[in-house]
Amino acid sequence: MTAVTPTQSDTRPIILIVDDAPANVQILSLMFQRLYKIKVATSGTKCIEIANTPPQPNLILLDVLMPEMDGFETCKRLKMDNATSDIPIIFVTGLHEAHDEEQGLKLGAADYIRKPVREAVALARINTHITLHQQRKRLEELALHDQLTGLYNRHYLLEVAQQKVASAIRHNNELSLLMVDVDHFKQINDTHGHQTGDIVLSQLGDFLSNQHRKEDLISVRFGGEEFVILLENCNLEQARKRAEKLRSDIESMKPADLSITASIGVAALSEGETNFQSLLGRADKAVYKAKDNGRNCVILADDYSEEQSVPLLEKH
Amino acid sequence: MTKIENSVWDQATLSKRIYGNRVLLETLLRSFLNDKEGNIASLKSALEKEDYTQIRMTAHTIKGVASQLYSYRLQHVSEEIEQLSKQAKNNNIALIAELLPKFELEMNTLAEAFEAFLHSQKKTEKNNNDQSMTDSSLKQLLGEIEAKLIESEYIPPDSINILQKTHQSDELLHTLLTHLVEQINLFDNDAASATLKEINQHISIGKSA
Repeated sequence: MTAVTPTQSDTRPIILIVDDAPANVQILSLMFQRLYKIKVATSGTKCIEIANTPPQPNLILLDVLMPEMDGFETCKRLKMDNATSDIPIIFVTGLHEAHDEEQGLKLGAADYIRKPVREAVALARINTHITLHQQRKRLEELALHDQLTGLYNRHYLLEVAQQKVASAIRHNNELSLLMVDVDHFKQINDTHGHQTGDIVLSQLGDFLSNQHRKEDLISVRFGGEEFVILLENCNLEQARKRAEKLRSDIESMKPADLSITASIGVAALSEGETNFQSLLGRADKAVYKAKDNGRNCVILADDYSEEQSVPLLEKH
Repeated sequence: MTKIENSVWDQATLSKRIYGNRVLLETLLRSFLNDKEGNIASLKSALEKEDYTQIRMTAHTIKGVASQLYSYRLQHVSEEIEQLSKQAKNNNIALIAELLPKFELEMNTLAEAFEAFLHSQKKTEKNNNDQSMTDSSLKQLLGEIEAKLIESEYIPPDSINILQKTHQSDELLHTLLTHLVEQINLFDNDAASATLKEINQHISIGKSA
């Protein structure tokens, strides 16, 4: 995910102006600085560097004819890189021929403004594209987050988890997964009402998101009262310890003044295991075992190799 | 061609367009003057080498700058050269070479007009030249500039213009501050950061002495 929020003290959207002629940059900056925070690059290379540095620009105004790397090439590279591909680009150029404009738009630019720039028209177009970009970001946020807890949702997990598995295999890193299921949650809803149930889940969500260092962990509300925590650079034993600590923390947290407990299944990516669904499935089975085991406990998943040796029919 | 389109530069429209921001106006004119010789040399050498890409690039840049400065005559001749350079035919080099004296004339005429304007501004400014900053406000401004340079953030010319008018009794500091302003206005951030470092060193030495 790319950061779109500018610095705390200055919340104006950021425009990156890219032009090799200082006079052009000065005039464009003066036009837009009242409404936007302005960053400046005088080459394509510098533009790419700034676009990759947080806080990222919300929009790039890009000149076409520049020495070394021209605007078309710069645009192409920005669009090819996942980290910068969704930043809207408007070409601002003295090239007035239709095929230049066509080329720019084909490369993925949002718009094309001709020099000399007329302020009112440029501002209207910039504003449109920044608004669209912000709305798209917001929709992405909504699509990938759980509304109640603010954690990522199942859709997000399924989107990124396979990449995490592939990356762990490629770099020979450990990857573990905890599946956390609140015990007797239906009873909480039935006895205290859904609103209380929501408070329990929401507080548990807050707890999970504050609990861990973000860079090696992704917390997800996977289903109704089910949470998944993906732990990067973490082996089975470390994951078990974290799960045990989490189980004990949940037992003492008392959301909505209720005593709750959770059953946790733990699985680590094993040799030869290349599919996220397999890892998830093993953790899920471990949760069932924890439930059978009297709940409020941590159970390690069966080995991947054992799973493989069980005939398919017996798994169900 | 209308009267305005035939003028060397339309100062009134440019001033209006930049909201009468005199510091920016002067910055733009100085930027043109700084680049003038290099641009002429670049066009001449590209012409000698029959390098159509370089001719096109230089002519396009000057056309762009001239149009931003409402300098119509230079804009037109640059545009003519740019158009000719788009098609790499043999006789086009000759046609571009024929336009070169006109191009140089327009560059020089515009430069003279800009210099005359800057000179007249200097005269009116003389009586109002005692803007000085305290050491602490200088340091604060330099700190803000440093942060903005790191972030590649735009620094408006009128926010740093005062640096050229303060601490004039310290000749070296004054020269460094003037360089800093010029480098920032031309977006040469690497040079500006190096100058800023020198200024900070100079200030700290001055303090300890």
